[in-house]
Amino acid sequence: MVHLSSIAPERWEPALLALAALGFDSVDIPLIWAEHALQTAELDFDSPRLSLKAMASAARAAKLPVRLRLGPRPVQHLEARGLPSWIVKDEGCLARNVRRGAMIEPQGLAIYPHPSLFSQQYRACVSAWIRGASLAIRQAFRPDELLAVVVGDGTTPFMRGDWISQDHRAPESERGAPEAKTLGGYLVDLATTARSVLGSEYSVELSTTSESDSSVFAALGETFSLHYCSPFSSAGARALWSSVHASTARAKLGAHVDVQCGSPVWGRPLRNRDAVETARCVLAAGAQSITVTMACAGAGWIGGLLDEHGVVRSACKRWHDLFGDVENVLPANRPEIAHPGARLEGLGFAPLARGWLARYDLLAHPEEAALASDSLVRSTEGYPLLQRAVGSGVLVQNDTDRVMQVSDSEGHWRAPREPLEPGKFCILQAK
Amino acid sequence: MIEVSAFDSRSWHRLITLIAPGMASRAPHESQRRAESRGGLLLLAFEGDEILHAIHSHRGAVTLGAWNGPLGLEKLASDEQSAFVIAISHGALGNLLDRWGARIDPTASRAEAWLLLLEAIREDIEAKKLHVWPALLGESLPRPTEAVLSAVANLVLPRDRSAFVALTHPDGSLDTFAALVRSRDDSLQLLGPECLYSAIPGASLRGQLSASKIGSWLRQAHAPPHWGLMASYELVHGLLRAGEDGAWARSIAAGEVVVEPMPPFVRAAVGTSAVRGAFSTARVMTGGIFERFSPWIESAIQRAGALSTLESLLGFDPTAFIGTILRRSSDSPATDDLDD
Repeated sequence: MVHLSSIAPERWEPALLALAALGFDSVDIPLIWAEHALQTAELDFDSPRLSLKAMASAARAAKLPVRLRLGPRPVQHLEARGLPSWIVKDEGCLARNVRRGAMIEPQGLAIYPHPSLFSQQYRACVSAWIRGASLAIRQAFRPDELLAVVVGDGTTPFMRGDWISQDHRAPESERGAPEAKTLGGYLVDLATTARSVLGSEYSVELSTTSESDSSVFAALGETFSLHYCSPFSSAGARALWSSVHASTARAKLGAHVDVQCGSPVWGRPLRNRDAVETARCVLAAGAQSITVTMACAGAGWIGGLLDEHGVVRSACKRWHDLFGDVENVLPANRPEIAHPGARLEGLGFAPLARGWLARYDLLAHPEEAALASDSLVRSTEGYPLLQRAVGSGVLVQNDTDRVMQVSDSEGHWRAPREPLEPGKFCILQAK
Repeated sequence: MIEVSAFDSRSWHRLITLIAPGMASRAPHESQRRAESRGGLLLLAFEGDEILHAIHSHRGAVTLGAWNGPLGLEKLASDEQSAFVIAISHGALGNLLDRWGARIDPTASRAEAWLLLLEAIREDIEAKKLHVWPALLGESLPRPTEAVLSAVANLVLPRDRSAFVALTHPDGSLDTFAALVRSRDDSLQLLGPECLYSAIPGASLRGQLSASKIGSWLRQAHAPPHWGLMASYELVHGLLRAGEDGAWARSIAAGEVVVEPMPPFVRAAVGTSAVRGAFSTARVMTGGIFERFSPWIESAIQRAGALSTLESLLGFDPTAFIGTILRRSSDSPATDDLDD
């Protein structure tokens, strides 16, 4: 993910070219509502720093397809997470606590109020933003240049996980069906608005958190590709694995996981080595793709693969190595995926050898319910078909009916001795 | 807001974990080792004589027995091997946030908003809904006002001035760096080492950087330096944790820590610390003779430093406070590569 408007427009193309050279195979660009609607609701997509056409041109030059994130709060590190100041100052848009005061969210030394999903005024403003942005996107990007438009807030509020249920804005002053006043209803509203403008040629995806209500997102996962924000690296391998696995199980059309690189100014600092290890673990747990947030430093983000001027930092080497590891394992029976690259679009396999799993302490406790409802690591014992195919070894499976891979007890990838049931198993072999 | 730039992940991590080791970044597979280590924060919610929930910063959720009141916190800390304990009455945290949110005036300053939070926390402590162990600050400490915070800011870094910290590897090359620039309009800019590399030729090389070179660059490019500190990372790491009076003064006198320029508030603090250190040494060497005079001498030391030190403004010594926390805190990971 590159917050392009935070760097000088003349650096956009070199920055995206540098990312492409590192192995990234697409770019996520967040469009920040507060930047495009600085003073009023009137939207600006033409100024040099905000020009969608220039963004499209830079991505085209780097041969990177684009995902655009519309939020309305797509990132965690910007003031009010990207909401315009005129929204956070408007009493009619804000959530209320039990004492009728503001529901506040500290961001470093600054404090911002939460918007209220119960406020029709807020919902109308958000709809206008999504509609206006979608219209501008249609004019700037061809359908084949755009992987998807992503709507929804992908990050968890700092202090109140369940801020929607704690919002005491008086419901009697608002209209609308009760089910619309939930996060799920809100997300569907956003997606419907975007789809109504973009039409069927463009794909719309949802961004949310893995902690959100699973029943709601299981339903959404039937219709949309879902983007999740991965838990922080210090949560541990088990928590990461469990969270990502639950997310992938829910998202029938694909789960994409955001992996942090660097940190917000007021957040816990993250070393590159730990960010890369997190990405490895997330891929192993079955994420369809990863998005590295934020690839570019600036505007309140520390670290990043690129500095504030869009120049590559030396730490990129670790990410390049990860992409190399991933490319060394290609699916034997899925020739359509020639170069998964950094993004692993549509791949859905786990490039982890047994040694890596042992390192994450996952091999020792395969039966733990915390990992997932279906076990992730099994011996081939009890799987005669697999045993015939690969001999004794370790089987790593992402989902019982989706994708599998096999490595031997030394951690080397093995080719199957005979074809497996097509459509059910996907055995990976060393390139 | 503070505008932060020119830090890579590694230099930022080194800087933050120097004073907040608990914030250290860890890889996913290191969580087990972390869980087994001593220290950390135990946060618990109680109701009646029951502990409803408890979370340990190293181990996640933990199950604890009965709530024995604030006097039982030390034993809980010992049993759970935690360095700090915060106990909150069930529902008090939500209540605290609600009270805070209800009191905030959106047009008021940020400082006022945070002082309101401090006030709300103090109310909960007085109402015995919130207990902190150990008590790092005296309960009688007055709530600072905006005027006090402003005076502290002006003492540490006046408008249109800059300050910097440059920390080096044992071989003398730059480990991490931060310069804080306060503009005339009161905005703050925090600059990292990447701006040094482009501004001072050879800045990344061993022995090529000095406090005076950094000061000259800051004066030309941003604002005149009000103070600057240059020393080895390891030495500063040790000094911050040293509970010993006069340790900073000795290192400055020995030239191991370069403070250039040295503003009056640093000179006063270092002088007070040096006198305290000398007094402690003399007390040990002379047996009980000094004990008779110690209250008078302590009072004289405090008066000498009272005019211009942070301690006199805030009512407590912030370096001693940070030192107390750091001595109790676990340390950050030792591994450090340039690619981190």
